[in-house]
Amino acid sequence: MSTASVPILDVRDLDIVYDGRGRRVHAIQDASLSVKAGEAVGLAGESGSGKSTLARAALGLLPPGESQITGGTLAIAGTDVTHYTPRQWERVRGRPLAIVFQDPLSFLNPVMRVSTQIGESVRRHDPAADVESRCAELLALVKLDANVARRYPHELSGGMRQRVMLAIAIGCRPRLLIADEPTTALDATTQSEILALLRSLRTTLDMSFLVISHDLGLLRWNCDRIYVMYAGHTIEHGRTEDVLERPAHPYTRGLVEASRMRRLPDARFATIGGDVPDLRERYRWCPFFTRCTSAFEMCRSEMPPTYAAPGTNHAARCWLLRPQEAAA
Amino acid sequence: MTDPVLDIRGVTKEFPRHGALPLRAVDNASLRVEVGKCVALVGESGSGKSTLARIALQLIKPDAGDVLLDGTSLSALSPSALRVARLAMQPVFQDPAAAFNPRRTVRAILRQALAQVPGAEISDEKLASLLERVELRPGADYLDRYPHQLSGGQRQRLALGRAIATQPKVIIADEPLSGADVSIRAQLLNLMTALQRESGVAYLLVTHDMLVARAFSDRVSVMYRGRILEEAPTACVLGAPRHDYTRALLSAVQSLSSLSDVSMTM
Repeated sequence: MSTASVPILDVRDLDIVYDGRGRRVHAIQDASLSVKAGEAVGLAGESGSGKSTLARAALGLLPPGESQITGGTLAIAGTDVTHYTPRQWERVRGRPLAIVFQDPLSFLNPVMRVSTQIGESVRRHDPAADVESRCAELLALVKLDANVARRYPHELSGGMRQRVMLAIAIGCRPRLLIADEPTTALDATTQSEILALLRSLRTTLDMSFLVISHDLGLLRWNCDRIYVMYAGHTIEHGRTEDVLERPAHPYTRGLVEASRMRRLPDARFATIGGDVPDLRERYRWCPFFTRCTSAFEMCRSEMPPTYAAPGTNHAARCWLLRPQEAAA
Repeated sequence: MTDPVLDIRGVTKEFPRHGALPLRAVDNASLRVEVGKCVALVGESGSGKSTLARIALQLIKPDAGDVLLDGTSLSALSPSALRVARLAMQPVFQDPAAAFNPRRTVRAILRQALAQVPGAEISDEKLASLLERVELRPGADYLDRYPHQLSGGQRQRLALGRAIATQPKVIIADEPLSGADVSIRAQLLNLMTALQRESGVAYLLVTHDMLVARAFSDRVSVMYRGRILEEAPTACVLGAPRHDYTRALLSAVQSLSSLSDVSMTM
């Protein structure tokens, strides 16, 4: 099999449980997702939907002892890494996968110069590299001035720190870059600069992206495909336009409406009623059932499989999409 | 034009800097909020909008200028008179987790707010009804909880509940929706609308988010480097921005946060 056809990241029917302080939380429930070479994939969802847990799992960064993969598989470039040990993970991380987080300040070392931190990443994956020239090259790639190399993180603005994080992440030439809420903490004008930079890196470096965000607008402009998470489940996925313009799952529809922040005819803003799901539950039925205005009997007895939705490779886990003949 | 409930007049504030000229965080800024209306104060981090909100709340004393609340100049008041006058103006902050004493129950938090109001009735029934006004139902179930036992959205409701306890004429809210998920954000905006309708409270809404400003405000003031660059009805500022900075801010928002059918024109 050629490497091009194997997804860089392939998550299938994954279940992850957190077991801490006497509380068992099913953070990821039967989630599936794949990212192919050259793709930019978005992972959308609200707080607690499991999107960050999924990203951390993909990098082997789940807290050991407190979390456990209890079902499904996780494969990176065709290799099953579901039950990798921390030592095995060391070899995977950085190359082919790297991550940038929301808050660069807490991930940068405050007492190390930028050049040292970029150098560490470069050397780790290529001990023979000419660190100095590679560092200059990386700073240029993220459109930072060469003299930033000598500075410390606290001397930089939020946007510059996020660029440094990107330089560190791409320093080891990853095949997939995971960006977890990469611009949430930034101002609008800085956000659009960072996103433009991500887009340009994607074309120059031939990388794939997995962008995690609660902001559907951000994903719209930066992703080819989108997955939507709810209560640890991947409930809908498809081409970005299909998911956002023809959302098939009632939850996605609610999320799109709420994101528009427009007043309805009665002057209220569209919201999603009801309470957030309780993840102490391992849902064997639709977790959105109690909040769904279209729910019927079947929704509370069984979790629907993935059904095709209008569009290209667009699908959602909702009984409303069940083909008519099958229902008869 | 009706009378403003909050009238900020030519306020300036400088902060000393080590080894440099003082930083002029707010530079001769004026802003009026009319009875029952919402003014959005927009700008990016460092523009001075939070400092201006804090000056309005009398948490920071300005170097020049004055703040009038319901026609009364606050700078001329004695500390005790200021305490009473300030009841008409309540803050709601971005991070509701940091806004509460973590060792106080919801009951103690609301009691403390009500205790400032001369002659206010303080009973569990009164506190529960306050909670129900901010859609924490049944209110009595929340009285013995601590802030950490509430979700982020519930804490922001509690913050609004505490704010309306003194029956204010204006709520000064600094990024009240920034940490909230989209569905919660819409719920909080609906609650803020309902409180406005019930009690006629006005809002000064400090936000960096043009979508929030568009959704909720009657007028927008754009702040940049301590100055108010532009001030007009929301539709005018968003539809036909007069200043280059406002245009840059709008185009940034358009390129990231707009969904297909969302254009910034009203």
